[in-house]
Amino acid sequence: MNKFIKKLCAIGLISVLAGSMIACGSTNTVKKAKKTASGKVEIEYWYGLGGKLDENMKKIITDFNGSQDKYEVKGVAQEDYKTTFKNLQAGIAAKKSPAIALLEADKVNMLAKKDLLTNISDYTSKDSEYKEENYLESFLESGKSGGKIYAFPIYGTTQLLYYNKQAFKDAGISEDSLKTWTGIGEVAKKLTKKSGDEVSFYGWEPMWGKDNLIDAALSNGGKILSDDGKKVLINSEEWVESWDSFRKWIHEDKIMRIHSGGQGWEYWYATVEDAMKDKSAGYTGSSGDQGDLDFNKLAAAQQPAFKEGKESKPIAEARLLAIPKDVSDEEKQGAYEFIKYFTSAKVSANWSIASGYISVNKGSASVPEFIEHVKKNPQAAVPGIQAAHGTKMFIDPTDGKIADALKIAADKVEVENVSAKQALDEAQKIAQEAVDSVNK
Amino acid sequence: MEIKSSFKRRISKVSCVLLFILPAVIPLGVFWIWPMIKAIFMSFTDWDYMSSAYNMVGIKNYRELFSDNMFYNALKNTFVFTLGTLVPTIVGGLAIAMVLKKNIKGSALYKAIIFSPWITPTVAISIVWSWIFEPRYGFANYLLQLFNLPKSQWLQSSETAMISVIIVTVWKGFGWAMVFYLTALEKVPRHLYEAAAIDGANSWNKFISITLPLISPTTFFLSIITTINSLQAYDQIQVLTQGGPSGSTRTILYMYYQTAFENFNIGQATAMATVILLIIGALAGVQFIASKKWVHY
Repeated sequence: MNKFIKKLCAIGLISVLAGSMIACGSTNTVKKAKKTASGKVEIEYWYGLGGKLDENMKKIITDFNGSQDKYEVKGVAQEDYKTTFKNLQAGIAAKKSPAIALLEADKVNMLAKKDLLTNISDYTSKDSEYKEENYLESFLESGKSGGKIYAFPIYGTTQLLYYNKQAFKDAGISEDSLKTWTGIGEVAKKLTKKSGDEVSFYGWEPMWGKDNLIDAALSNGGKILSDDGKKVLINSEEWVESWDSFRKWIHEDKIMRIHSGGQGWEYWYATVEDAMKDKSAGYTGSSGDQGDLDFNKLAAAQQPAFKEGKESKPIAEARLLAIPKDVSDEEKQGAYEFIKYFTSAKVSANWSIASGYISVNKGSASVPEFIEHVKKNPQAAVPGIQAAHGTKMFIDPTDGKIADALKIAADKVEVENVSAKQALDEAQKIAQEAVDSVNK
Repeated sequence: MEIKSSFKRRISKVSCVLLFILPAVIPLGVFWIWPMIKAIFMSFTDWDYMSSAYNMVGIKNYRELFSDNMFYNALKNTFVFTLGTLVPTIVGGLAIAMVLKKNIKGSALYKAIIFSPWITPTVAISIVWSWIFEPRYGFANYLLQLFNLPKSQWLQSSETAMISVIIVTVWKGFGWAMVFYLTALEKVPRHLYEAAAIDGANSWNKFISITLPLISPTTFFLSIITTINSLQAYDQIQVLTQGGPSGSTRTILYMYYQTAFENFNIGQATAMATVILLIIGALAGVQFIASKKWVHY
């Protein structure tokens, strides 16, 4: 009996051990799509949008699901773009990726370089209705690698100025004062209301982080990298001048304010709320904020050149849908159908109307609803006009080290009142080392 | 014949021992030892965590890591954070335990309240603390103003962000240390205090010469576990500061996360993880050697 129990235990344990080893190994099985109860192919879709944007995205998903009976898109809202990407990484590693994910261009570039995305050109080439010239070229380019489309842009975004019409009117200030950042500095000085040291109404609120500051530097003639890609130029005179002006406005003049930290989009909504609740005269925010804003109170304007004699060059970037390579063929086809649906002139126009983002389909401008909307809401046309003279999104060749150095420098300038020269010199040194290492 | 049967008996004994330890060894091997070996191996590759192909790059990841200023900055932050949490947790835990062991009225309630942060999820308490630290309307600055002290920027300045994260971590941990000390203090024989009192020892002498030596095994255990916890701190940093402002709360573990999951560089990230492992090992070793001098068993 004793021997029997021992043998039984031994067999059991060996089976467990072998089982766990097998579980650790990889299997090569043909991927099968998940089906819904009604027999439709389930297309899992991850996107990092909140508030009204999430509601609008859900509406488009519902409309798509109702427009055909083969695919059922299941939207999974994530905290933000960064979280979507992080979860996608884990999904790809675990071979459990969604059929589509909404990503930023630099992340698409990283994944495409590693051959982890489906080549969407394979689908567009077989699609007789697809015409590349229908889409905004600069946005389409941001999803390409080696001439092939690895992610399809579904909308574009750029940072705009949103200002309080009544506050401007009361102070006798016209939109013409917003033609340069130095002009905005003057306007902010006039509009700020203080009682002692406490500011009750800020003249302007830039959005926390490096993006607004980069836009200002680019609109002052600055560049991130030299044309040959070997020298990091983020501590040039143009950068230091523009960044230090923001530092002065925030910390010395106290006419601008930054909301920083918090969870997810918390700082963003705090900034928007200040403009909506008469705590600031305006803010710099995304074209995608338009869905959340009250345009009886606010108006939109383009981001200007930094000063007279310079050109306005803020970044205009696309948000793209990527299909991971490791999903079933049925899901890939379904994902492509959803992309096609979303980027059609009419759906894109509706998305643009609801969200304020830029439609990637040139045909959206001729959709009657869009024409009517722009007539009633002139702010809706601003993102598109700005995108036309914007700068293409910077793809960091160091896989994020330049961006990280700029993020730290922006914190130093915006949050900690460190001189822009010092912050950018330090950032340049780190970024240059990273670039040198890549170019070795 | 006798040799053969003795050999058989030994084999049978070994297999019996193996059978008993296998249920513990299997999960240990699958979930701890094997991943650790694999991680050390990966630190010599350029694997990106997602694609199946990778190249062996030798000690390149380590060379780059040790020539990176950001790494030394993160290392410095890690040591400041570890020391800043270790000492107050141990001292605070002991002090509270000394007070509450005296069976004062409502001591059970105090113990429960002080211990409760330990069982509350770090993410939840960190969110609440982020409101407390809010510079304009937060409770922390309200308290400072009550005592006519100047407002602090707390999480918004690189000068105070680290101390703010340390406050949250110590607040969460010292109740846990208190529970261990309460048990340790209970076990100190009363007759030793009586004998010391007869010899004319005052309270301080008794604490230094009797209490501290007799609770030293608990102090040793707590110092190792708190050090490891501090080196592995992530949740509170992610919620409170995300490593900022200006990278001032970016610890080596947080940098590991960024390298691995934001920049895709799993090779360098695992090199960093190996360094963290070595640091934890070295610190535990130092404490272990030092303990021979001051820990009473």
